[in-house]
Amino acid sequence: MGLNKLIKQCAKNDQRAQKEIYQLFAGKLYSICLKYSKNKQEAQDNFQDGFITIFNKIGQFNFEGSFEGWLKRIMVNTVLLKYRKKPVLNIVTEEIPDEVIVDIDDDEISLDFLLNLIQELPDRYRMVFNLYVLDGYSHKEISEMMQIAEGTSKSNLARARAILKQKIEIHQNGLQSV
Amino acid sequence: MRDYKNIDRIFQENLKDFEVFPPNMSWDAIEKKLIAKPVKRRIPFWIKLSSIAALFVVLFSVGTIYLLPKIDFTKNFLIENTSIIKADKTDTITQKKAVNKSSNTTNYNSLNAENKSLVIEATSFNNSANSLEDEKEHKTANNKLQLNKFLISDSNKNPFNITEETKKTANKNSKFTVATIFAPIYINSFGDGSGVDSQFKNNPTSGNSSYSYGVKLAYQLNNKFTVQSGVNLINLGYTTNNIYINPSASVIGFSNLSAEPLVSRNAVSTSKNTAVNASNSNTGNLNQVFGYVEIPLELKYNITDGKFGVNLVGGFSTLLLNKDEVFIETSSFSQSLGSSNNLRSVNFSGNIGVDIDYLIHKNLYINVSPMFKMQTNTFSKNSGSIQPYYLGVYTGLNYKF
Repeated sequence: MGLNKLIKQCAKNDQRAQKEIYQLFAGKLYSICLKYSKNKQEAQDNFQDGFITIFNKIGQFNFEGSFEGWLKRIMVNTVLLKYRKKPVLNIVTEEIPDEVIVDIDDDEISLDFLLNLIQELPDRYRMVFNLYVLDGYSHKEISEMMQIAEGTSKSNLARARAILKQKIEIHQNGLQSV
Repeated sequence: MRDYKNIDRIFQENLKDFEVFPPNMSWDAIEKKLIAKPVKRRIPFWIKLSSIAALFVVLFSVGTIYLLPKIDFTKNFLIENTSIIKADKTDTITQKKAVNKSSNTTNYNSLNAENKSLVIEATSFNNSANSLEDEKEHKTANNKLQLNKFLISDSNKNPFNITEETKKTANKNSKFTVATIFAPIYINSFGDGSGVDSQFKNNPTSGNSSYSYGVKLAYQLNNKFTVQSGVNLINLGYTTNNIYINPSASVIGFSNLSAEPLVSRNAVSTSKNTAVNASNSNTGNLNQVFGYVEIPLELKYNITDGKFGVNLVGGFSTLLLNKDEVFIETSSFSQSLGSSNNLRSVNFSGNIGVDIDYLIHKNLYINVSPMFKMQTNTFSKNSGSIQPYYLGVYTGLNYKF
């Protein structure tokens, strides 16, 4: 069955089509949830909520543009909605460096370790870091999506980078000292 | 291998093809929620709209077909009428003979004196005829007075009583709306015929512009449907054109007029020129004026929400006759001929139309509602196949409780 036909079947609440769509995109969408959420448990909750939103709104997909992009946006928005409301202490740093360089040994860095670092970031830092660094949104887009000022988005990103750098360095130093 | 790297690039490179499958229980949880909350079945708009339209057509048909007793236009009440007319005829003829022998019977174009009605021209210079005339005028004056009294008491009673009732009921429920109504009315008819007499079947007829006013009470059943009723007073006028009138003293009997034959008011003034006028008949009109207390029962379906509401309206009205008079009109005079006896005291109309309302303040709406109302059993007999309808643009101020 073609993807478009599957989408149409889903709009008619066809359970078999829903399961097929789920199987096609579950991996990609769950990965998004893992990156944007605080831990595995919250990632699973967000993933389920996001998929239910997707099936409820699938009738609104207009077959223009990528279906995968549409799914990802819904998933990101589902998570954003959850964390947007939670206040985060806003630290405005005077200097916002464009680049943060870290001394790293590639062989010692695992994917799980990096994912853990992201998840451990405070909610809003994690959102901004994911949106800007991993998903390529601009600060202007992020400010609209998260309903924050552009400057706040920039400072959040800088704080996220600083925390990540610090944690990577501790990790590296720990390994060295062993 | 140790290296100095941009922190962004570390994450981008490592997480580029990151894909992890969720645990199996995730799908079960999603499936459960999807079954528990099935997507509301969407009924296409056109199906909704056409089914509503069909419902209104059914209501309209009920109003026009099933609520009225069978009308038998072929059934003629002539036996009764002719006997009365005969009696009148003998009276007038004897009078006529006694007074003056120069009597004429005029043949009307569309009139068959033998069969249906009789117009006897009674020319008279005599005092006794004058006294007869006075007596008749007195009678009609009395009739009018009674009619007026009835109208006044009626118009006083009905609308105000109802508003009191509606206020009482409205207070109990917040879904009630009360409204004032005013509407210019244009009446016309399908089919041939005249409400005055079937002899004028082929005469051109036309409706007169009139008006209706009253109060309306509406109850909102749900966010789409509203039931509305109320009380309106409505005045209708109906003109039968091209009636030939001989402007001399005439005794007129129409089969559908319950008034006794009348001697025209012009009798004295024109009678001197009888010889001339008898050949130069004037053209005039018969104006049948009737009024009803209208009690509509209508269903309203809301198409759009928001400040502007567009609704479809369908239903029927019960019409109670409260005014009935026939006038003869020419360029030179107007004369009441009494009341019709063929207007049913209760009849119905099928109503269909649109209602557009606009929210002006909190609970206050104005509405404009063009309505088409087809009357059913207006006339009981001798009217041809006439089927009056009227168009009205009902405007009102609505207050929602």
